[in-house]
Amino acid sequence: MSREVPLHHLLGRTVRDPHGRTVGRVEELRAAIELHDRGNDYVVTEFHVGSFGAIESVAGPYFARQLLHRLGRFAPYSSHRIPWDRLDLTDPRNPRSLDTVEELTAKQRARDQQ
Amino acid sequence: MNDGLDLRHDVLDAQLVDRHRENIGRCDTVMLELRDGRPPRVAAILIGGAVRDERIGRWMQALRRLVHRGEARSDGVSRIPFAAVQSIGDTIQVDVLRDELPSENVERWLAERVVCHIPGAQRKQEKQKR
Repeated sequence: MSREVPLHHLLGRTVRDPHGRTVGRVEELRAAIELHDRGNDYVVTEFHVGSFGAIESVAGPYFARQLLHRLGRFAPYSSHRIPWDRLDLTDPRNPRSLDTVEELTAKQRARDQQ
Repeated sequence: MNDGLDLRHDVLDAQLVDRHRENIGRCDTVMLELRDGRPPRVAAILIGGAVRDERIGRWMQALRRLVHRGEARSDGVSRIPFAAVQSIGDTIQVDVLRDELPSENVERWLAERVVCHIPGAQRKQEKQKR
């Protein structure tokens, strides 16, 4: 079964982990081309979730991400990339990460080190 | 088209143009199809009408209800399948015709009832027709 949801209903929503702790807000949705027999479609591959969602949306994703990354030493800024299959959108107004905050942080750290 | 696309940065609020490169408005939202066990599909782009009002705020929705009180008219939303997107850059070109879109009803009404009465507008319209 499928249903439709407008993008602006997802953006800015607070994402919580399985323990109910806040991971951040949905800032961006990354899409990529999926090829199939009848042609191709764009599908969402990952959700970018950040703790300063509103600032990022006003200042622009790239500038703000760089600025907040530098400020991260002074302010507890964190951002996570959650793959589509690790985010439960059963209730799109209350998205839930299937990974805990610690697991997401560890994954993000591993990505940063690469 | 690039392989990767940031839906908020690259698509939301981007200027849309039809197949003749005429402006048809901005992308007010993108519809995502949530499917069981499969990644969400980018299904369509919506322009105008109730979708735009919803993003502006409740006061705009209330104003719309007041203006269209008792009228059984269409909601003025244009739904363009994402498969109709031809290119994404500074603008997004879609394979549709401007005149066929319900979201252009207001523009058409304004052109016929208001803009054409402004001195000089008639000449410009004739030029555009040519």
